[in-house]
Amino acid sequence: MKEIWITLATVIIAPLVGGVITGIDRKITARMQNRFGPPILQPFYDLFKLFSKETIVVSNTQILYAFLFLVFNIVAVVMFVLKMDLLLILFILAFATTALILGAMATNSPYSRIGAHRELISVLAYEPVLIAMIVAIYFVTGSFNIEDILKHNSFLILDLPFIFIAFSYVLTIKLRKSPFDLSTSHHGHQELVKGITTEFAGPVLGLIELGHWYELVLLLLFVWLFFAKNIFVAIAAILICYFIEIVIDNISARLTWKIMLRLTWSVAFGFALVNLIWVYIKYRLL
Amino acid sequence: MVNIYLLLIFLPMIAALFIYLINNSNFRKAIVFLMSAVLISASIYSISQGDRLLRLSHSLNFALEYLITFADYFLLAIIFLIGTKLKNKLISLLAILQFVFMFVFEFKVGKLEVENIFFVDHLSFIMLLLINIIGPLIAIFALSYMEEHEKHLHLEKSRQNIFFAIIMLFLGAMNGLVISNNILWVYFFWEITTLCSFLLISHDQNEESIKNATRALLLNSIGGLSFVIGIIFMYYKSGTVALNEIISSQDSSILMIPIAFLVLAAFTKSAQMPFQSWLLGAMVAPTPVSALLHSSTMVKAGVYLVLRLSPVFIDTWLSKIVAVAGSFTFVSAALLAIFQSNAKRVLAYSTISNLGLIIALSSIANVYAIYAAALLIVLHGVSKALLFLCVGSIEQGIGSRNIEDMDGIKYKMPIVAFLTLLGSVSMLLPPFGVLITKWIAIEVSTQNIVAMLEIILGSAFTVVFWTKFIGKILSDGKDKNKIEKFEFVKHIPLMAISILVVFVSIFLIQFTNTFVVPFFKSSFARYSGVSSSNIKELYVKDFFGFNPLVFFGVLVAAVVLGTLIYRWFKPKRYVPVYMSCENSDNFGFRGEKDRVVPFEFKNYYFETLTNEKTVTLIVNILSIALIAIMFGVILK
Repeated sequence: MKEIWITLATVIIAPLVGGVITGIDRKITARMQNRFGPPILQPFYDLFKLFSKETIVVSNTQILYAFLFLVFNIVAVVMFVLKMDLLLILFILAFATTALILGAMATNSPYSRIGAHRELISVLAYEPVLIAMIVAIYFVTGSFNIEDILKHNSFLILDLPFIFIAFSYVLTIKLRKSPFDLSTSHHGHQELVKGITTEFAGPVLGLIELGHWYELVLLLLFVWLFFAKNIFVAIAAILICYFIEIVIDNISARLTWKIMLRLTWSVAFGFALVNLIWVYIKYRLL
Repeated sequence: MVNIYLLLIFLPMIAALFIYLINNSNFRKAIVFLMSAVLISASIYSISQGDRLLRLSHSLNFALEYLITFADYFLLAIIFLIGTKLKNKLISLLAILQFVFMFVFEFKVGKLEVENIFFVDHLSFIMLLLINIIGPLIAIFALSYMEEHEKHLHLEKSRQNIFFAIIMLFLGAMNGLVISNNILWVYFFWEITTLCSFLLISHDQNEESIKNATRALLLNSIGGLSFVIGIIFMYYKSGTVALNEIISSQDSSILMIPIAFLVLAAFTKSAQMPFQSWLLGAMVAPTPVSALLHSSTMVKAGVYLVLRLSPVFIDTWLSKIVAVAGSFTFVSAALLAIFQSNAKRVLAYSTISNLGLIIALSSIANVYAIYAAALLIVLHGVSKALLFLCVGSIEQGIGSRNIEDMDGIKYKMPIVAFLTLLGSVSMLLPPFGVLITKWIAIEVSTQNIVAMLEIILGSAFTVVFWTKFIGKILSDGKDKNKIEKFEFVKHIPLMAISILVVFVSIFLIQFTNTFVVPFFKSSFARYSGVSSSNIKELYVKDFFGFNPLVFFGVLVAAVVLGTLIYRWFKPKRYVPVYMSCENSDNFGFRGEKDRVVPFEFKNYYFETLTNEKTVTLIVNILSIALIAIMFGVILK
């Protein structure tokens, strides 16, 4: 019974948090660009407007994929809050992305298809790092279950600093922020138009937008995991981490997918690997 | 009781003889249907009899022993002759070496008594189900496929009698392979599958198919030789050639050398790196052959052997290296699949990759790893059979097996496209079982960090190539004319297999408890207190909290909910894709003077980054090094 309440609460609260954070993001970004910026609740107004619009599609199946993207993201967040298996959550998250990619590929639009493939390349870049992160957490805490991971008696970050750096690195890709906003960007006038979401409009785009908010919350919950010992430290860490992401977004230009792939596989995965090996030796061999 | 097992082996072989002799299409159809019914019911009946060690009556045993020994030499002689005919000295040499080793061995040790001639346990059941359900379904599909195939080839005289005869022989040999207790018999059936695969790959008798068949024969002969050496060592180390005694043998360390040779043989048969090239070459054969080789026969013989022997070598240094080698194949084949635009090659690499995972799982010392290995054999078998048959149908429909030509296939061939989608989704997404085995693989491989890293990377690659494939099947195409007509003989087997694909995943827990757990309990009795634990304790309720039934339930609920929501979102208006409003339709834009310029978009194959050849070279070198390490470890 308790689980059902938690689930309901998560489903309602998570998008609110995600939306507000997105609003703050837009405000800060605007200030950095010497603009006044929209009100913090603007993302909600946008979403309501999207849902009030008439449904326009290129292909019927797009609706299904947008829906699946949303559902998988919700499931992932709920599973996290219910403290289930971390690896499974990651898989579910990957399927949300897969649904989005398939949705973009369902039409014959070159823009959205290129976006889809770039998203696929992003998956190739960040997925190993994320799995490595989870395995490293396993080595330290001896469990894949969030329930048990939270029982760990110190800050995870102390054992996994490099993993955290690698994670922050791929967070930029996952949040589709510059310099890795390859598959879609927050501005519609770039060479890809809106990339992966080009062909989505109205309520269907609204579903995806909503899905992104859940995704954002989930990613920030991953940050929280590293500082879970103390809730205040965790909130501070999340805020700092997200602020840094915004700064990076605003000071960097987009890189090509090749550079992204090379950097993630060498630098980020390298960092993750080093940390992974040391916790393996520390907790398994010693 | 024994008769049912003899029937499973020899009836298909006798049927093969009749099919070969009577080259008549209706007769052939009748026999194929009849044999399908017999094989399916016989295998189910034999399973209902439970685990068994069976002995034959003395005279029958004696006769069979001589028959098989004689047939074995005869088989090697045939392979030798094929080698000379192909002017491939290496094949002949390997055949001679096998012949000589075998002969000297049998001459020196005299008659090898194996009391219990059949050793049937739950692993055999799993294999029997796979062989005798999927195999006949593929054969039925082939009835329609080969008609079409020969029409394309414009043959004067049908060669279908040879084709179906070999398939029947193949199924009989596979049955023999999985229920024989005498490892010499296993070797004999193993060699039959080698010969059958050669004949099937070279079926079209053109230059390319003969070349590829030769390669398959060569690589599998290496495996054959390795098998013979393994048997000889096995006998001298343990004094027995009976599988059941070897498995329950208490001292595993002395058996490392024979096991290593047998594992190498399994590597060749299961097309592990660096032996993968023969399976890719096998793609030139008619599609039912690929489906058969990839799903229920041939390559599964290799992983079956590793899983069968795993109680002996699990938790040793050898097993650690084998796990690394297996997961190396998993990651490198998945990487190679990303570069492929040929649908069959994508499927082939995916098979190799999954077999690598099965081998890795078979050698990781964990209960769940063994469960996952056994499950993956089945899950992969059904899904791959479906996928190959679908791709074959698509090829006959649109005249191409290139993924890039599959735009709009969902309009052209809706049934097959949907089934292809089902097959590929079952290899990638939840709630299908393949995903669960990958998940288990990561969770249990944490004790072997190298294997674990390989599995992590491989799992990311897998997502990429499957998503590309699925995306293409679902994509829009210009040509929307339906070309598919419902054909009973062709579509019914496809649908039957797809129902199996869904069923196995839905009832994964029940399947595990019925088949996999008893196998684990009986075979791994020696292993960390399994024998003392109650079989109930070994049952799974879910996989780390993931219950497929619940998940399928959620999925059904989601579909219902989705349909309701769809009513709300029901599109009011359809628009063309966005091309700055300069497009006439979805497939072109207005250029200068309003001339329509068509556009198209192809999948990324990362050609600018690297290519298949370079990666293959590197991978082959590394995998040879791994095999060298594997043999280095066992030498003291």
